[in-house]
Amino acid sequence: MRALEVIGVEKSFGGNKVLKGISFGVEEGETVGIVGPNGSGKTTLLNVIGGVIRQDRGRVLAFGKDISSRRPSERARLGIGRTFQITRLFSNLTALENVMIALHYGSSLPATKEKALEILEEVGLSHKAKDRASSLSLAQRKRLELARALALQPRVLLLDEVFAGLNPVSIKEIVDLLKRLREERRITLILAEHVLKALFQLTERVLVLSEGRLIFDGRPEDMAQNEEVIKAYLGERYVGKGS
Amino acid sequence: MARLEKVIFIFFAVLAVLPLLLPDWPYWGRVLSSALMLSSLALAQNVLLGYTGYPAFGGIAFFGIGGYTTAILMKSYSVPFLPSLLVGGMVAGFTALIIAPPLMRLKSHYFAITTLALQLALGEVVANLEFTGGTDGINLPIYRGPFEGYFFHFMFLFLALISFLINLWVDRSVFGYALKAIREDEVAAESVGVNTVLFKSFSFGISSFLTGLVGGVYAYWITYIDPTSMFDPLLSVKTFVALLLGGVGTTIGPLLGAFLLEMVSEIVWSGLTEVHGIILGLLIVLGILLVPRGILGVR
Amino acid sequence: MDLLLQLLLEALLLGTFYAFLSLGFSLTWGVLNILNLAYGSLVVLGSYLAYSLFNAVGVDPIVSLPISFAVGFGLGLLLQASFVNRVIKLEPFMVLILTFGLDILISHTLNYFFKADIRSIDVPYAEGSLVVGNLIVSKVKLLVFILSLLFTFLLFVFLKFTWTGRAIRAVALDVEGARLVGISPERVFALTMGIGTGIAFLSGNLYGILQGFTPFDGGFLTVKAFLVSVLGGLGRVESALLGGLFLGTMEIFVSFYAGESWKLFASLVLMILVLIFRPRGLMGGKYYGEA
Repeated sequence: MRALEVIGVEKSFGGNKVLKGISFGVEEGETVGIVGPNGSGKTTLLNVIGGVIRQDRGRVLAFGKDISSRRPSERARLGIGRTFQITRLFSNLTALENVMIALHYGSSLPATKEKALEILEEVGLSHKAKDRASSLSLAQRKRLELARALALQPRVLLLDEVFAGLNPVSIKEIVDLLKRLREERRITLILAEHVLKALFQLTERVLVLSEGRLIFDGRPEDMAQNEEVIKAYLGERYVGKGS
Repeated sequence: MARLEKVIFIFFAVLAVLPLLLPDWPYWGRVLSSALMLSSLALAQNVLLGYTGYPAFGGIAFFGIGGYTTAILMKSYSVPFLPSLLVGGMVAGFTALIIAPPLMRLKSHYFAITTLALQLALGEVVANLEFTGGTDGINLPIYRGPFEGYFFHFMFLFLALISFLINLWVDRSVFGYALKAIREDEVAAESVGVNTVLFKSFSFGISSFLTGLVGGVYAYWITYIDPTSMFDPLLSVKTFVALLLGGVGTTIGPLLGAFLLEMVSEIVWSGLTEVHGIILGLLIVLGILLVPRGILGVR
Repeated sequence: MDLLLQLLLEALLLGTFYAFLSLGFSLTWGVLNILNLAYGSLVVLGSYLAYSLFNAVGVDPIVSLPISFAVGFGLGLLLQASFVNRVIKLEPFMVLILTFGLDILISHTLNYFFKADIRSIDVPYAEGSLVVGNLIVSKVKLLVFILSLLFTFLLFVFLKFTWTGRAIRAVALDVEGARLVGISPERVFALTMGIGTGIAFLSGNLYGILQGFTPFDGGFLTVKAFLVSVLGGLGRVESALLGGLFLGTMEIFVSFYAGESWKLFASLVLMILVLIFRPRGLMGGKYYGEA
């Protein structure tokens, strides 16, 4: 079954068209990278899928169900978890509480606490459980956000620039973590990403956005050969040179 | 449970037997009732500001709604006090619940000033309508019955206790965690499955229900109400000064702040009614400039 | 028909005064980002200043206008120096409580010295009314209208065409950007606070000429200033005129058809609706910088 289907999504901000008719589908268990220059609409696309931004036109389907007009919280409970480009943690609460909030449906507080600790353990943060979220380092904050999303038992995970600003060691740790999650839970991963090297360790399929249009959908190794992609990244005059 | 919170329960127990111990009870009864009333109001607003992050500066609108509903039911329909009070609280709570979704799209000082406008507007409506007694207000019968002389002390004590228990519950329940998530970041709260509109509306509803109950008891206690006294911006500001003084977002801060403010005003300027407003204004200005984070210094 | 014209005329006269009244409020809001709930009380303070100058020293209420502005300007600088700089760092809600405290302080202090009686300032040479065709114009209202229009125009010219005015607009738009081109935001803040409070005192002086006043008029004057600012869209001097006319018209018609006692209610409901549905104002403009 298709985990996610985006059909003809359009979005403008005050006359400025940011998404111009985006369509694609993602199979369950697949990992897809969304790349493109700054301002190409990657984050907006993730926000439309997550429900933070409502599209002007088009539809979003998750596991065959039309979620176009659902609140973000409903989408979260349908199994769409996400992280943010600039981490949005509950800063004045502890790491443990951050995860507990995402877990809060259907169980008692002590049971929730235990479960939250397990999840923190999984992302390697259990030693920081009692620390305030605002006191964590960037790499730790990114992990905590991931842990919080995992607490939802997601079937789809939307990751917005999860590698940005991290050192190679941290990047490798998160890549390994994501690989493990994918194997153990068959989670569908969608990564909007700048750090292509890390992305290519995870994915067989890349979507390229340019000025709100989807200009490429295929294997990473074919991306570098595609004229439109080169044009989008380097500008018109580089096309054809050196080939 | 934290040690300080246990102390608060002992404090409540002491307040319950105090009528037997204190000389000059009519005087102290009045002072304690005022302090307990302000405590309840501050605790009610704490649910909304402290845990949910929404400052309902005009929250006294619901004090007025509760008070007027109680008074009208008792006076015009001869309903006994307790059922009238309960209806008063519920009318206040449900009104808040209904207006919350559009109103709570506003945040911070915009939310604050809109609720203040609501409070003043309700005062104007009540002053202009027939069945609310207009600017003449409503006279209520004087309470006669068991515990005469202590009745309102126990009513206010009960309300303060309920408000305190609700704060304790919010502080460490699943519901409360959802509210805290909203306070910290609404977009993130939604992204982990918290329906923010629902939860913040409930928070507003609970806080206004409590405020409405306080208004109802106040109306019966004071026996005469009018639009100016029931929708008084001075009461709004006193509530928030108590709350900010004690410490927002803690369970005991609001109680501490309310008792401190009420006791100080009683001791320092009970004889100086002429300059009461001047001192209150000065206190607010200096308090916010000098202790912007409250006595407990949280957040 | 005559009635309608008469009401519209009243609305024009009153609305222009409201427009001028609101300018100090919206200027400090737009530039310093302070919602000053004490604004109305500062206006009333201006009324009592003019009243005292007239009654104690015999200064004509027109002659006292520049004095009012100067005193207001000085007080604004004093407020700025004493605590506004600290206030800017506080949460907006705390600023709200603070200015509300200031409002209580001012109104109760006035009440202590002047008592709650209604006071008024008589302008002997502007008594009575002019009759134009079937329309009646009270001379006092006409006087206040002309002066309000004049002062509004002066502010417009100042903000638009002087270097200082441009600096104020630049700071309103982007504090750091203004700093980069050599403007000192701190000086602009002080100046804005001075001008804003000066306008409050000036309009207080006019308010005293226009009608009777008490120490506790500040609250609903703040509501008016707020309403005009959000109706016009917190920005240009021109849009304040539109907001003022809108409010003036509404007040006159509500008073006439529903009764004086519903006037404030109508303003408050309008304020709530605008805040919820059009928080950027009916005109959609932003801050002073975008003129």
